[in-house]
This record gives sequence, C-alpha cells and structure tokens, in this order.
Amino acid sequence: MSNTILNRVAIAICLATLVACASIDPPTSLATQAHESVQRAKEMGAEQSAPLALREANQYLDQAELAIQQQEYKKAYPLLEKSLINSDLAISRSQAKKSQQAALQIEENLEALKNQAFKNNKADSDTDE
Amino acid sequence: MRNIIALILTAQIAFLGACASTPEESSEIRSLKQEIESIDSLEMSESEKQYAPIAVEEAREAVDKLNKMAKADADKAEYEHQLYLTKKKIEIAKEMVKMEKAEEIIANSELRRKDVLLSAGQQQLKAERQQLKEERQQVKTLKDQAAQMMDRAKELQQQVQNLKTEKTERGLVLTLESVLFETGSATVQSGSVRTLQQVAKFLNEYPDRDILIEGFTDDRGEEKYNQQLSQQRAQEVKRVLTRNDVKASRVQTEGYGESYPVANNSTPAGRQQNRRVEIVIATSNHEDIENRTTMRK
Repeated sequence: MSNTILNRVAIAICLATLVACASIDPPTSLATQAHESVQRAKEMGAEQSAPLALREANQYLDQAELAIQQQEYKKAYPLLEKSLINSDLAISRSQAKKSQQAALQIEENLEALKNQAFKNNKADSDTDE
Repeated sequence: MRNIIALILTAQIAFLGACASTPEESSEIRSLKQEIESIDSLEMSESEKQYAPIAVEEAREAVDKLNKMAKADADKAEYEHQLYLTKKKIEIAKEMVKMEKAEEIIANSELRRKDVLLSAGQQQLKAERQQLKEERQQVKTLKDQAAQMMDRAKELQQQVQNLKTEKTERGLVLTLESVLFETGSATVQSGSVRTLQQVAKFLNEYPDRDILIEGFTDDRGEEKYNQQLSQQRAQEVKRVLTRNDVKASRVQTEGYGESYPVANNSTPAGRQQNRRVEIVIATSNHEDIENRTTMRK
C-alpha cells in the first residue's frame, strides 16, 4: 500500500477513537438513581424480604463504581442498569410480601369470625329446650 | 497464476464465511432464542396479567426489544444484557401481580366480613322462626287437647248423675255433689260408686295429668269437725279412684271444711251445694295445679 492510503487509514482510526471516547459521558445521574434505589429497597425491608435481589443490586453497583473510577464509562452503564433492575425487583418483592402477609392475616381473621359467628348460632339452638 | 487466483478465491470465501451473517446461527444464539419463546407468555396466565398491566407492559416491551435484537443479529453482549433485563422485568411483573392479588383480598375483606355476619344473622333468624313455629304448634296442640278434654267431660256429665264439669284457670273441675256420701260420713254410698268408676275411666284417658281432690262442707256443725270430714271425704274419693286403676302418685287431696262456699249456707239448697267434692284436673301433662289458697278467689 502507498503512504497516502496508510496515512488516511491511520487518521481515520484516530478520529474514530476520539469520537468513540467523546460520546460516552460519565453516568452520574444513573449512578445517583441506582444509589437511591438501593436505599429505598432497604427502607422497604428488602434485607429481610428480598435479600438476594438486594445483594445483586449492591454487587452491580459496586462494580459500576469501580468502572466509573477507572473511567470505563461504557462498561459502567450496563452495570448500573443491572443494579437498578435488581433494586426494583427487591422493592416490588418486599411490597408483595407485605401485602401477602396482610391478606393472610385477614383470611385468618375472617375464618375466626366465621367460626365464632356460626358457633354462636349452634350454641343458642342447643341450649334452648 | 492460476494458483494465486485459487488462493485469493479461497481467502475470499473464508473471509466471507467469517464476516457475513450465516443462515446457521451459533448454538448460543439459538438457545437464547428458545429462552425468549418460553418467556414470551411472561410465565403467567392471561387473567393474572390483568392485575398489573403496567408492569406486564414493561416486560412485554422488553421481550419485543429482545426479539428485534435477535432478528437484527445484534451484538452478543447487548443481547445478553437485554435478556437479563427482560427476565428481571418478568420477575417484577410477577411480584406486582402477587401484590395486587393480595390487595384485592384486603379490599374485599370488609364486604366479606359483613357477608359472614349477615349469613350468620340470617341463619339465626331462620332458627328462631323455626322455634317460634314449633312453639306455636305446641300451643295449638295443647289448646286442642284441652278442648277435646272439655268435650269428653261434657259427655261424662251427660252420662253420670251428680256431676258438674267446668273449665277454670286451675284446670278442668269436676264437681261431685255430696249425695255421694251418707250424712256426716266419709264413706261413699254404694249407688255412687258407679259414678266414681266413670270418673276414674275418664281420668285414665289422660294418664299424665295431675289430679287434686278437694273436699268441702256446709257451715252446719263445728268448724274443726267439718275440716276433718272434708279431708276424709277427699281421701275416700281418692281411695275409690285408685281402686279403679287411677295412679295414686297423680292424686293429691285437700280438705277445706267450711271455706270457699259456692252458695248461701242459709238455705237447704245452698247448703247442699256447698257440701261437695271437687276434682281438679291439670290443663296439660306434668303441670302442677295451682293451690287455691294462693289464688285470688
């Protein structure tokens, strides 16, 4: 190949690299979101109700922070997305568990009420003679 | 020259084979696509999806994006990332469905609680109505029995002499006139035994009714004597009845002497009326006869 072609190729590669580097911003807002989401999950009791999802959220967040420190922003984005989706899952799992427990309590109360109400009826009819 | 061309052609084919999209997908892509198919239904029934439409929609969009990526032969890393997110979104949708199902139970609880109380109340009402019906039936039966006994008593009155029948608060009262006894005596006259036998037969038509025999005299003679005589006469009547198969345990006797006259003692007719024995028959089975001394008369 001639020098001119080689030069053009070299320039093209450099430009491409520059463009590639310049288009990735540090994911600061996404990182903040991910932090807040993990916090919210903890507040909703995810440590008891959804420990696995919470742990994954934290692990991905840690990995993302490491990547950001090393300015590997392209790597950081998907890690943050993974962290976020896991804290979302932790939150909805915690909410679901809470509601399910409340519903269970209600079912038990209803059952007890049934027993009481119909037992009273039976008792009345038995004692009348 | 031909060798060089052949070499170039081989290289080109190899090159093409490496870069271009081949109809044969790699096994990794294929298994990922199979996963997509299984999650296409989002792993829940149509009715369940209704509970959390927003979360379900997000999961569905993620699946669609995944399918598009598969068709466009996207970058493997991006593909796997999208698959990861999609699976998680399906999990989230499932949790939301669980939550909403539970919330529905909570929301319905008040209604169901009222329903239970209503049912129990209705059941009780029904039982009470039934009981009332039975009680009314019992009352009717007793009334019918009392009426029937009254009719029989009237028949008896027709059949025998010296007997009067009357329905009172205390029960059915058979009044035996004093001709039953010889004057001043507590022995039943032979002619009147037949009457008492008829009475005994009548009484045994109602074997569970209690009987009270009360003796009375007129005011002629000593009060203490009359008291004793009336008592003896009542007991004598009992003896005759029990000899005629009336159960003794049913029968009680009382003597009231000169007390409770039913007519004026100043005339012979009146005195005759006062000399009597009354047989009180209880209005229903196993019920006690009220003592006349405690009653207003």
